Amino acid sequence: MSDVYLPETDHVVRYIKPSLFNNGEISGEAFQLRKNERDGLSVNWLEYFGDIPKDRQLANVRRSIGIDIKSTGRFAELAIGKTQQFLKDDSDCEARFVHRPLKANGSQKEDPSHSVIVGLPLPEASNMPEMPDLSRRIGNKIAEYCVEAIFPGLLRE
Amino acid sequence: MSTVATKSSSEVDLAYQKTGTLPIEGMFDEEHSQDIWQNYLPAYVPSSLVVHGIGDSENADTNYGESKVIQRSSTLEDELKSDDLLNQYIADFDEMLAKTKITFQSYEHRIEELHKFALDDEECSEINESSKKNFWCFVKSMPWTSTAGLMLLDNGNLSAVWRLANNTRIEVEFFGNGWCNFVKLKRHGRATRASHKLGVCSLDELSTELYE
Repeated sequence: MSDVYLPETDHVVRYIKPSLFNNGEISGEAFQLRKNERDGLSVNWLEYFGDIPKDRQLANVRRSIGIDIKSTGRFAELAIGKTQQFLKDDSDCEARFVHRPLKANGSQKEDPSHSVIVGLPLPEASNMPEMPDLSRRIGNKIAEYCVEAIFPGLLRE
Repeated sequence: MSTVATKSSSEVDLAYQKTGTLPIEGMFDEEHSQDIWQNYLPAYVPSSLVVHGIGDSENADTNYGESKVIQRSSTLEDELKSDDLLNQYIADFDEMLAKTKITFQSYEHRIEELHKFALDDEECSEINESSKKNFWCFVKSMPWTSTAGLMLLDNGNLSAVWRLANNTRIEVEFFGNGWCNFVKLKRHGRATRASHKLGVCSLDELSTELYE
């Protein structure tokens, strides 16, 4: 199946675990590809749920996302077009946002808004952890210049 | 002739004793309090601050520089003004120490949290104790630095984000062997590109990166 690119006018959120968010700051590691994300950085497409208020879009994401969300975790919002343009202008990085819905699988819930950012650099070889790398730089730049808003992981009852 | 002299740390120390203010009492362990007292107060109080009747009156006039100098006066009013200035510096210093105490307490609390997160997150290693030691070593060496966002990377190293002047952000990963890795970003106005600097450096060199 061919990739479906998300509209540049739309938005996605990336879940930030509590260990990577503190004092209003997000670690660049939050936007680096993880071991299980070789196909792309996992995000959720907000406009998938339609033209509804953002809090309702986020509520749908919280319900469907296949991650154990913590109350002290956060969702970081990225504007697709702005992020793509920034990464291209700043780092010659051709990032693309692709819709990759996840089907229910065993205990895994269906996650229809799941999407990935492809084109981000892979972290360098793990046997050279002291070497600063492109992945770390771009992760930091997304954290600093592309995050539009930060939302709570879970809302208090 | 007026008698003026630049203050020395021992003179300010005496002034503290005179005011009965012990700003760092109970904040840190005794050794660390002494360290802050001896290393930072003299640097914080401007060398221009002069006090009455101390030092060599013959040479005092040669050490004015561009700074404000309190001239010795025979009037009680002027004597009180100079005391006010010194007390103001002392009060400012007290305030900075109090902020540092709060910052250090927030780091302690955050590290406790991170220990718990690590236990709860199978992707994340337990905190590298050597990394933690290096983090504390660095922040205690620079007690006036603003409060950092403190994170735990999946490899177990602590990482701190400081927001500096001039739209600059620096994220530092503490390796734990006296070295660290940093990513420093700065954006100039509406420029489409952000300048960056990455590197591996010693903890000593890191202080330069924060304040250059």
